[in-house]
Amino acid sequence: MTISKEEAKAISELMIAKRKEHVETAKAAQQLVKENNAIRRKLKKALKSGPHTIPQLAEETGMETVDVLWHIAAMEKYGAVIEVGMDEDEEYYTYSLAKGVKK
Amino acid sequence: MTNKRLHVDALVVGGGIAGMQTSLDLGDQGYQVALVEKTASIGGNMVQLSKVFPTLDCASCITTPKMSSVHHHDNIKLLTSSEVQKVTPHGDGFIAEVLLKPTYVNNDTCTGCQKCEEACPVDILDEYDYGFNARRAAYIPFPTAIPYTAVIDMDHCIFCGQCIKACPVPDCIDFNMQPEVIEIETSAIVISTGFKVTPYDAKEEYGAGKFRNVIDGLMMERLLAPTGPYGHVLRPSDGKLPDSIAYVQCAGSRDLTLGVPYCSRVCCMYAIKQAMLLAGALPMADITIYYMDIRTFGKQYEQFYQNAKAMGIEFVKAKVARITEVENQDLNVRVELIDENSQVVERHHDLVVLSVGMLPNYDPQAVFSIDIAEDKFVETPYYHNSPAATTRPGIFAAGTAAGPMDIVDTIVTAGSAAADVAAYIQSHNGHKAETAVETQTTVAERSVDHD
Ligand SMILES: Cc1cc2nc3c(=O)[nH]c(=O)nc-3n(C[C@H](O)[C@H](O)[C@H](O)COP(=O)(O)OP(=O)(O)OC[C@H]3O[C@@H](n4cnc5c(N)ncnc54)[C@H](O)[C@@H]3O)c2cc1C
Repeated sequence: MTISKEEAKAISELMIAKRKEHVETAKAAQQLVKENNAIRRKLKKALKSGPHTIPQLAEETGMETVDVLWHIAAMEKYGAVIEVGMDEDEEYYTYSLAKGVKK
Repeated sequence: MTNKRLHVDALVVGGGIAGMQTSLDLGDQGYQVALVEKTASIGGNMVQLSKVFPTLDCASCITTPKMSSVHHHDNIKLLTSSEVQKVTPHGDGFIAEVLLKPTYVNNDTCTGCQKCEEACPVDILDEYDYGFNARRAAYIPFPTAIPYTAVIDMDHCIFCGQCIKACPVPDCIDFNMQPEVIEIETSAIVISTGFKVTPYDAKEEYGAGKFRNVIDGLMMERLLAPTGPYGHVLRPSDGKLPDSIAYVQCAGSRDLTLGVPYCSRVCCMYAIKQAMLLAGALPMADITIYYMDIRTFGKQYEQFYQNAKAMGIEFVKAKVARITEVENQDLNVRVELIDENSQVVERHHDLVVLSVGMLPNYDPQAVFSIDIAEDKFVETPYYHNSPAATTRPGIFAAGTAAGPMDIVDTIVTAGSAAADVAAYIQSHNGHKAETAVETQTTVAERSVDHD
């Protein structure tokens, strides 16, 4: 949606006011977004070289498998990652970056 | 605050399958109904299930059309994100004070396009999928939610304004939306507030909450559902396809140490159902059910159990003493094999499902002045003559609010509650409300008119 400069200004003023009303929760959410973004960058970097399983991603990024799975499931849900196949032992699915996702 | 007052024949509290069926049964007979649901969508627990025993029909294929019928019914006024705060006697009936919580999105104008969800940068645990996946702070509760409209989660919002910018409908997202109170004048009330499952981590010796691969029955429903968090049944610890899955029966019921002495009536059947579905989804996996005794009381239920045995599901009469985590986050289950001279053995699995039981979801005593029974579910003292009647005339109960039961029995009690309500209205004032809505002096902006 394209919005006018005035509308953008009004939204931004409203958001500043709301942030003041919800200081603590907004700060905590902001911190969470920062952490999530840092993790997503790591995962995308690893996926750049080709399809990976969850344990492979965990090993490459130094993360716990449970956290990798949560982020990959989230990225798949919102279209950043796709499931592409299985590993040789047919124990784990492999995941790739979806087409058009910035690496 | 507002003085809006809605005039109806029946107020139904709780929009699971029980509340929906009661509302439809009454609405179809021409009674005006207000259905109050505390979450942002109707559907209750049933909409989260994968398939249902004993037919293995897809749960949402049954639930979604009912949800839609409720939403579009001329005689049903649906109020989501709402809760009854106070009930006072009024003539032959009641006046209920209902709090409408702000969702920060105008339900009348939201088209469910999900543009706000796509634009939102905040990913948090999705409670609909028991935290196995993420949802945004601006989100639609689940793919078949009704109403299919977005909600802004203020507790996780960073106030970046991206949702407002992305929304194609002017003024649809309203960060200044306020709570509203409306009054509902009604002849009768039906409590259909449903159940919650017993906490899966209640028995420390089973390790749930500590070991990632110990989950409960509802979590497995989501893993099995086509709309589930991973699209496949995967282990939550690492995404591995499980190879050996165990069920621990009575992991929340028939247990005095948990204060739940009763049988929850659905756990044997849902475990058998899930085992059969797993056998289809994971043909190489071994599936074992550790049980005290199998209770298959309903129509076609025993045959269902026999079919599961014929499919190769292993049923072991045993008591599970302890679950420990071993290498690769696999699990050792220590069991006493009752049919083998109570021999104690350790068996290895890579995923364990606890068949948790049912607890009431809501205590209606303070607001509705009705009694609860010893098991804390709504007391229905005239069970043999009028199964839906509670201890207060004019207030009825349907579904699992009154005790553990499956969907079939829930539908039956919903029909019974609707019949009792109709009889009660006829014997008291004998007339049906002509219109569901009458607006008095109003200061709030949120409309309660029919959609
Ligand atoms: C793991 C599992 C699998 C199952 N599988 C099957 C199966 O295959 N077949 C089968 O027949 N049965 C099955 N069941 C049982 C089935 O889920 C229930 O019988 C059925 O969902 C009960 O519906 P209900 O409407 O009574 O309650 P619920 O589904 O719990 O609905 C209650 C509704 O009331 C709302 N509510 C609660 N409190 C309030 C309040 N104060 N104000 C307003 N709203 C409120 C809730 O948000 C909810 O929407 C299963 C149960 C479990 C745990």
